[in-house]
Amino acid sequence: MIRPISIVLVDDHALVRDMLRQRLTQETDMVVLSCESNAQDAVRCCVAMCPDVVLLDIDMPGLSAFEGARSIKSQCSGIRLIFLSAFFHDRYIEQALALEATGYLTKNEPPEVVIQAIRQVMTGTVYFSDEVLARIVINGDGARLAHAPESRTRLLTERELEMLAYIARGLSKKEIARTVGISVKTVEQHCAHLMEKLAIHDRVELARLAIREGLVEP
Amino acid sequence: MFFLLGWHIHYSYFIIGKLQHIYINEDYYWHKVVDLSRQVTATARAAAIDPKLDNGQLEQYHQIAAELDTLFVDNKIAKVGIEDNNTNPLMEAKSAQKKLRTIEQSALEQIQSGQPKIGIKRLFDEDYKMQEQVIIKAMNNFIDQSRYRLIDQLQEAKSKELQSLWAAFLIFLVSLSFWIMLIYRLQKWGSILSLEILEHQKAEEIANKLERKYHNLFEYANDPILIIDPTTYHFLDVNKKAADLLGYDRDELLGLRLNDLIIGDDQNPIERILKILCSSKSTVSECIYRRKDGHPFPAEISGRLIDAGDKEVYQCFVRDITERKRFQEERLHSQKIEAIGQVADGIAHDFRNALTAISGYNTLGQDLLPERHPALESFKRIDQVIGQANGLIKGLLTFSRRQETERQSVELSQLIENTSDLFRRILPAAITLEIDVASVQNFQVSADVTQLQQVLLNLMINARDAMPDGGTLRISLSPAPADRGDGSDTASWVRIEVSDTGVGMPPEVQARIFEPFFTTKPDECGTGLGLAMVHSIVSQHDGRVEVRSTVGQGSTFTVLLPPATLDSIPDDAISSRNWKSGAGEMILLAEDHRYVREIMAATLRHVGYEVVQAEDGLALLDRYQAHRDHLRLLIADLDLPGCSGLDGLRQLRARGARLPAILITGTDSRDLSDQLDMETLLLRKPFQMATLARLVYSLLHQEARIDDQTHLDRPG
Repeated sequence: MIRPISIVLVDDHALVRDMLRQRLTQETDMVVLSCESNAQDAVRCCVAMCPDVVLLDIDMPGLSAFEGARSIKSQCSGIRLIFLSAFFHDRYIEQALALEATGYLTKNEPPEVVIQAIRQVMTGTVYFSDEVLARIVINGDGARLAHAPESRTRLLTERELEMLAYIARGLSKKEIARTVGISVKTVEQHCAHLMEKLAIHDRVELARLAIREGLVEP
Repeated sequence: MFFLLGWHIHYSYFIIGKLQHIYINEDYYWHKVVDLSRQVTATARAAAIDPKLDNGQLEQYHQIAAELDTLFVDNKIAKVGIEDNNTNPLMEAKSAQKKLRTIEQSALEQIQSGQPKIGIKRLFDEDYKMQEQVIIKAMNNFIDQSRYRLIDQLQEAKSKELQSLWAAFLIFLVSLSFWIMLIYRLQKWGSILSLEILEHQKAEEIANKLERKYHNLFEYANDPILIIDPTTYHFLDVNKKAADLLGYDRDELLGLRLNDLIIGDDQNPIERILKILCSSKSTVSECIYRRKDGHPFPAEISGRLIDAGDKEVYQCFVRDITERKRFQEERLHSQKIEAIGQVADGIAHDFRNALTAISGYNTLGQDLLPERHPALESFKRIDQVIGQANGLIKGLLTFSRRQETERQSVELSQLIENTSDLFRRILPAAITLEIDVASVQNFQVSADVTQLQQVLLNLMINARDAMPDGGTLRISLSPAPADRGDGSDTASWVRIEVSDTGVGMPPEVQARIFEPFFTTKPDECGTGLGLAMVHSIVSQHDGRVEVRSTVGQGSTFTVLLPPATLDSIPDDAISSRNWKSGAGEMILLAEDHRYVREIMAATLRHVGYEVVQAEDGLALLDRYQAHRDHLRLLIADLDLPGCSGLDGLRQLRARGARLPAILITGTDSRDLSDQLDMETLLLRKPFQMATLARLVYSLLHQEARIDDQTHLDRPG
């Protein structure tokens, strides 16, 4: 008997999560191990259960999806990451490609496409929505996004981008430290660096920039 | 001074000469006196001893005696300057002379009276001789004295002359010193004067230079400068920029006042402006000014009351702030759009999540129902509504600039014609549609076709609604004017104008026409998003949209778009929907970077190919061997581990493989064209998936074209 594809669903929208769980459960070759509503729980769950595929919504409260995905990848080798998002934000696609995600789908795709993507990534390949696929450029370092807008956020490291996203969501430094699992001092250092690089020292302006750059949803 | 000295010496010699001359004359005179005296004496004796004494002899005697007397005149004696009569030999001689004459006359008379012996005796007696000797002695004495005196006088004169000479020499020296000092002084004064003159000249030159400099600064300043009389407000001077800005000749402006150029409700705008300028709080005032042609423009005036030498004047700098105002308005508009976009984005996010759930449950519901169930129709309707809702979300996201546009190179005249054809069907018969795109053919813009169509449709709908009683809707395409007066370079741009002959808009409506949710249409007819969407889309395409309207005459919307550049146009249409599909041909893909290989494989599968993957050079040879009968194309990275792509290909060629191949390289910049055969292309990184898909399709369908030299190398 063929082992069913084990899946962990992560989405803060219960409606979507439940709908997807019901739809995936109908497939005989798939089993939904767990449904989580945030990235922290997803990391814990994935480390514990080691599913084949993680369907990860991008914009969720708390730990960012990309930070969670990075943690999952580092702890569960061979796990397939499929990102789900309401939009094709350049920043999201870039980060997904940087994490070597096996899939990126938008939520306006019908559930059948999600099922097709899961099956495809299980064959060892990747699955991206048409629009994402068309914008990928292969260069000497791997895959990146074509025509990615140049902005000041290009100056920031991955960690600083994460910090910026948390600041934009209104999290305090303590909350960020608790969420990411680093010390407050480290958070402060990251914040100081990113503020210096962006030449913005106002949290409201930082939030505006983060929204404009698609780092967070408004 | 030399003349004086010379004259003095000359005069001295003249005096000496004169003295010598006097002496010679005197000497001669007194010698003559002596001679005459002897002659008288001799004549008297001769007459006395002449027995034939006659009157003639006597007369001769008297004549000579009279002549001698005339010589012995007092003034002559006095003239020699001998005043002491007692010691004066002349006086002595004179006295002796008188005595002699007396003796002679007495003797002669005695002779005449017949006493010749007594008379002759008297003339030869001792007394007579003594008197004669006295005269001679006195005269000799006198002459000697006179000579000595003259010598003394000469010596005295010479001494005086020497003194004079010394004095003159001293005077000369003093004068020379004086003159030297004077010359030195004069020289000094001269040099001082020269320096002063030079300094004056320099100062004059500097003053001229400064004047020229400030004139040039004034005349060629980038900002218009006005010099205004503070009492009459007349222009006293204006620079070229000011004349250019206001559209007047300089001379015309000098006859005007600042009031003549200001448009405003204020009765005394100039007083207000100057009051602001004079206050310490601000030196800047904004006003609407009018050019000569009547065209109003906003300008900022700054200035101060300055001392212009003879009087105080206002020096005012005028700056045309049309562009700044436009930028501020655009910025304000952008901020509004951004704010609305952020709201829309947030709504869209949740909305799309909800739609995802609805769509999913809708599918689940359909799956649960048997075929031909009457409820299935309703589920399909739900699907349609979901599709519409997704379209609405896309529309909302247009504001936020977060919806990625699918840009491609679009030929504008064709797009306008196609869109107009669509629109023509819903146009009332009373409206005439005119299309004029002939002047600009083959103008490519990098644009999202759907969005650009939306722009045109929104503008056309707006024009249609502005003409309820019919009219002419005109759409034209023309090159954009090079200089639009705002400093922007739109020379290579294109202009789409959508104009109507409708009701037109007042200025206050024009000012808000692109604001989201601003509409003048009845509630049920307009959402206020149409023109806002037009503005947003055009801005996203790096273009501009403007409106001109006159109430009762109609409106013209102008869309300015830049031409497509090489960078802005993707290799193909960005959407993979436009890619040409394969027919299940098998492709061997050898790439060591797993993620890159997977993405390339996914792309190739997506467009209809079957992909066999190899992770290194040896796997490439193995996979080829395993699938050699079905393989139609080889794609291999040049730097494969184990066996390079080129070596692998050579080995395959050696085994008789004739299939076309694409070698991919990211680091090798060598010219490998001479090492590639006719069936092999070199694709350089970076490349888009569209390029790969197009190239694969071309190679498999024998359409390979080398049209992108930056990516492709082919044996030549």
